[in-house]
Amino acid sequence: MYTNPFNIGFIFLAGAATGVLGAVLGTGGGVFLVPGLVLGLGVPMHYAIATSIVSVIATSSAVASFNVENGTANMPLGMTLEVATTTGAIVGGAAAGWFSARALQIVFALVMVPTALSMWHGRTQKPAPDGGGPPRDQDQNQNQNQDQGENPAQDQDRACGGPSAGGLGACYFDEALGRHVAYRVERLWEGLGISLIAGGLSGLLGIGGGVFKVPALHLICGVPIKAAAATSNFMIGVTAAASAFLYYGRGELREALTAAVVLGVLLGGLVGARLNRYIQGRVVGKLFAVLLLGAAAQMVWRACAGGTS
Amino acid sequence: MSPESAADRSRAGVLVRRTLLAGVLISGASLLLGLALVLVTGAERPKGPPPPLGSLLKQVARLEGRGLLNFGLIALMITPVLRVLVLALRWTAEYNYRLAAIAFAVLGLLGMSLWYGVG
Repeated sequence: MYTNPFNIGFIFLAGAATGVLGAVLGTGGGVFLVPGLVLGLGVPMHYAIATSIVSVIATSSAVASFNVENGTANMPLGMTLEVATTTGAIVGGAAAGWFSARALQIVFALVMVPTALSMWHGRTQKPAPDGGGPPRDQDQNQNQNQDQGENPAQDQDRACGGPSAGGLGACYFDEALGRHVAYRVERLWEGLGISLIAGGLSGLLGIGGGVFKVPALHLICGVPIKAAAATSNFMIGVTAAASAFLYYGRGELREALTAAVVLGVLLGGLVGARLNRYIQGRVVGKLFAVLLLGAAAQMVWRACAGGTS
Repeated sequence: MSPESAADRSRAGVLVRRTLLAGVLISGASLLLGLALVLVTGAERPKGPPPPLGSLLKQVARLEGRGLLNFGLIALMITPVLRVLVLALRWTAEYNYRLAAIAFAVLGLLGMSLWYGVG
């Protein structure tokens, strides 16, 4: 099936569409790819999950490469949380071998619901007017208006040199705000706990897990939303790789299928990044939130009716 | 936060970026070539688990489509692992032993999964 040029072409286009959607809506694409492969192309659930987890590595590696250089991704924080996500992903990836396709479809459908709600409420990559700063009081050095005539080096010294720096905290330049934003990391243990769960779901279902990690980083650990999204994206590739090896070893990675999807997703991501300027992400988000809920319902129905792959 | 720390972070970021991009490019090229060869030759997927690493490298040397596909997938999966290794070594060189230890712990977990899955 996967060596038929027509089928491969179709699968490539499905991957490209996923890449475009992921870039426009700011998701890893796994929540679209798995139902698309299972419901649309009849790919068995375990193969679809394996394919999705590898495509997550591809998109994460391509996107994170830009975020790490501009300092938005907090690498020390990301690496610390990766201890938890990697552990969770290995457990999830191993457990997927024991779950039936029907059970995985039902669990996947349940996870699609918070993702759809997140899209409906418009989680975008653009920062809030205040830079999406953490919802707690900050040091006086932070989030002050830049004085007229203050040069970038002085702004960096003022914003980044206070007690908020150090430890796992960080400081980055926000282009939208035109100034540096510094933050502390709080409640790390809670963040580690949620990272463990997110990693487990990633390994089990072939998703990136950003829908759980980004809110956890922002609302619990106090990381500004832009840095939270960049740090989550930085982590996703490692989390996915931890379970991808297990799927590969079990022979659940269909090489031609995965290659077509990965190449499509990479191309789609490039196209989507350019389309982003012209498309209203919130409108598209609401539309696909509805589609995701419909797909979730269909997956549950198929699993209960016994029509699984 | 001292300017040296910010510069160190930027250099680490450049290293990580290059590692990630190199991995994506190498795997992408191998996947593209492998997919083209498989479609042209129409070779069906052999049953069972993927070949051992030694056999896989021989297939790559012979430019076999399946071998190139598997190589491309492994290269893509290893890219994030290399990223962790780069940061572990970087932090060790900067005498940041706490972060280096955390990175090596992540590397250990990834190594376990890699050994179990790929062999």
